[in-house]
Amino acid sequence: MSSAQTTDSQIIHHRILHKDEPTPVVTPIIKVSDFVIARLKAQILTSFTYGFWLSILSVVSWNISGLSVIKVAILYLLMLLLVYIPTSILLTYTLLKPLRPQIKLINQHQNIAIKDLNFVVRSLTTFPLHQSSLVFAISLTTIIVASSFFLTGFITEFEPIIHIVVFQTIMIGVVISIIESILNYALTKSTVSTTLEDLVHRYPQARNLKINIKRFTWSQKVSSLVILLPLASQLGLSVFFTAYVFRYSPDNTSLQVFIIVSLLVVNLTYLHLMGRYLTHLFTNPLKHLLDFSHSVANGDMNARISLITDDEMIDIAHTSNEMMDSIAQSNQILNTSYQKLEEEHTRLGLVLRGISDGIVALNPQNKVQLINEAAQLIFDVSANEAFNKNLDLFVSIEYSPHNAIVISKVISHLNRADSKDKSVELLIKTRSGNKKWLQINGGGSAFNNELNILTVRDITKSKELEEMKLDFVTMAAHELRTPITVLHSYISYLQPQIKDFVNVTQSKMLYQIQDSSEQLRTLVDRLLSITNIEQNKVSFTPTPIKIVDLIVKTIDELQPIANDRNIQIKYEHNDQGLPTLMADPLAIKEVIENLVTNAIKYSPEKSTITISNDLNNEMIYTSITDCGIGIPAEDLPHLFTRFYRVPTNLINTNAGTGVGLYLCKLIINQHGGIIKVDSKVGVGSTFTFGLPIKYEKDTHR
Amino acid sequence: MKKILIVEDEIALAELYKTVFLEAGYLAEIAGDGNTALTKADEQPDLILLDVMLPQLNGIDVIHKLKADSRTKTIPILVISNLGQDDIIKQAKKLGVSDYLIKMRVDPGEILKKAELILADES
Repeated sequence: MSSAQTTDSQIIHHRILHKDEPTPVVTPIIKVSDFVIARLKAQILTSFTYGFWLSILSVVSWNISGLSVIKVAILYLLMLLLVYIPTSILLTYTLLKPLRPQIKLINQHQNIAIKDLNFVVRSLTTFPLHQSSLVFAISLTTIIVASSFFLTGFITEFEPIIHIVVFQTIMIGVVISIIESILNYALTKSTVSTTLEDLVHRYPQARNLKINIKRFTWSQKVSSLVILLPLASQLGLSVFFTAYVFRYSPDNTSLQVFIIVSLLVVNLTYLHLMGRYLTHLFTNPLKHLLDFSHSVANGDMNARISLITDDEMIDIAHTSNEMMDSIAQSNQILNTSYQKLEEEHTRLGLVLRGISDGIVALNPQNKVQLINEAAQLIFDVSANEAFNKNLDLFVSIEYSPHNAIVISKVISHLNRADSKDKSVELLIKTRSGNKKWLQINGGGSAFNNELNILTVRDITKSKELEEMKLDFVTMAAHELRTPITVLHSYISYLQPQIKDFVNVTQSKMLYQIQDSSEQLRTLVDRLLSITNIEQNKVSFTPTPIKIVDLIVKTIDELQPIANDRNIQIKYEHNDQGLPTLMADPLAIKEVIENLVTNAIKYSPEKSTITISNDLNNEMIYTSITDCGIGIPAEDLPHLFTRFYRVPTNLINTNAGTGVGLYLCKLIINQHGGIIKVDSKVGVGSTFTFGLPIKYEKDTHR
Repeated sequence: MKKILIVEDEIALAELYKTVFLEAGYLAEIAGDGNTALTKADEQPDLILLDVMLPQLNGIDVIHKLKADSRTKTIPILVISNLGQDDIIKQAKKLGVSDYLIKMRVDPGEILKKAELILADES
């Protein structure tokens, strides 16, 4: 029985293709009557091909009258009409009962959910098997019950010859029931196949369910009959002969044994051959699963299992296909995300390339992780060469403010959390021997300090310009010093000699000449001092000095100018409290003079300038506070820069030359001190310089 | 009457210094370059006012030669120059000049004062 069932399960791996002809819209798609008709067809076919033929053959062979045959046939026909047909209809309806709501919807051409569609498809797919199994089971049960009545001798009045006829009929019944089941299966399957095809037309999404049922061709039906007929006949014969021999020929033992053994041999041989075929049928779906797995493993994401069987294989196939669909979907999302990332990456790359400043990302070991085009050009290195290498390999340092020997030291200094410097200017030499001034800005970090970002700017040109500017100023100062000396000397000589011979107006003119010449002389003198200090042509000779004395002396000298403008200079000092300093008195006096002169210059008339000292463990501070116009906040950071002039709109205000404060800074720095400014526009400014108490000569540059 | 030799290539300045010294009661003579200065130093002036940047022979060389010559090595030299570099000042002082003034920072009156101080020390 089981072999018959499985043999009939012609598993065909073929995908239903979308037919081109349009779907009939009005006619119902799933017709239950089709299944009933298929069932009846199977019965009629079996009866005609085997039933009638075998019945007539056996009746003739056992000498039964033709009338009896007709009687039996009529009986059989009645049975068919009254029992089999109603049973078939009932059976089909019962089997399709769970599907009825969905079938109703489908037949009304209403859309149903894919879940319901799935259910319909799967139910219909397994329907033929269920139906034929049921038919077989019922037929066989009937025959077995009838046989047992006879075999147990329940019906004793029958003559032996009749026994044989009945036996033969039972045997034929077994054969017929098997054949009928098989045909039923094949025909129902064809009907199911047609129905499913229509369903796919109606619901294109059903295609995703990978329906795969092929209609049985007539040749297949015949071949299945040919394969199954001997088996069914053998089984029937075995049952018949065994029962007959044991009951009616108990003496003829050797014959019995021969018959039984030969039947068993034939049956086993046949089963063995069939077994191989059945195994093949069973393993084929597995092979498909295996192929599918291989395809997926080899990266074919479009692979699907195109297979429908009647067992749990279909579940595996469905689940796998659903899995592949969801993987495909995820893949698509991933692909889109990847594409977006790629685009973003490209865009960032273009931005990095487009930036004229060099950008370098370094790991904590100062190894290059990223270097943009501009930086490659600056450091004279390609991205490939530089990757994961230290920049020290490619550039050497010619000059750095912290006397660093290698560039990684400078970078480490910039990246240290406690470092105040966020920017540094270096003179470097590349491998090809080019010297470049660079401004390196650090302090940017990313990925939890895993990457330190530097921006690098080639400032060689601006440095050169600055150099040229300085050279020009120096040259001008050198050229100017002789004429200015002449001018200044003559006026100093002439002024006291002629002052008694000129009138008031002329005296004022004379004073103007003297004042301007003095300014000019101071300017040129300071420029020369700056040049000398910057070029290390002068050094300061530290001698013990008292800052108070220097301040008092300067105030005395500047008092006349202050008096002219009614400005009071207040100096509250405590000589005792301040230690002696080691410093160059002339230079420090120059600083004080400069700061106090500025204070006077920018103070309004009748105001007060306050000078005070302060002391801590390291330095003595001197502060000069005025109540002048003040300095805008944005100018404060540049105030001590060379040649920087605070832009001013005030008429009659002598704007600075950008030299004095820079010279002050140079002098104070040379002494290891600091100079700073606090200022508020309209309130006034306080300039403070501090000199270290323990001044050592080492601090000289 | 004390005699001053003014070595200065800038003629305007030389004239001014000469006037100042003459008015103060000194004899004064001008040399416009290093070689002339050496020649005129033979006349044994009481003080040489010496610039550093000079044509032909610069001031430092002039000092070398003057100090090397036994007849001129005792003549006090007052350097007046606009060169303010440490090394030049140190070199001059090492060679034994009496003082080194930055020309631009002093007026003629101050030079005269300084010269008179040196002369007073000598005598």
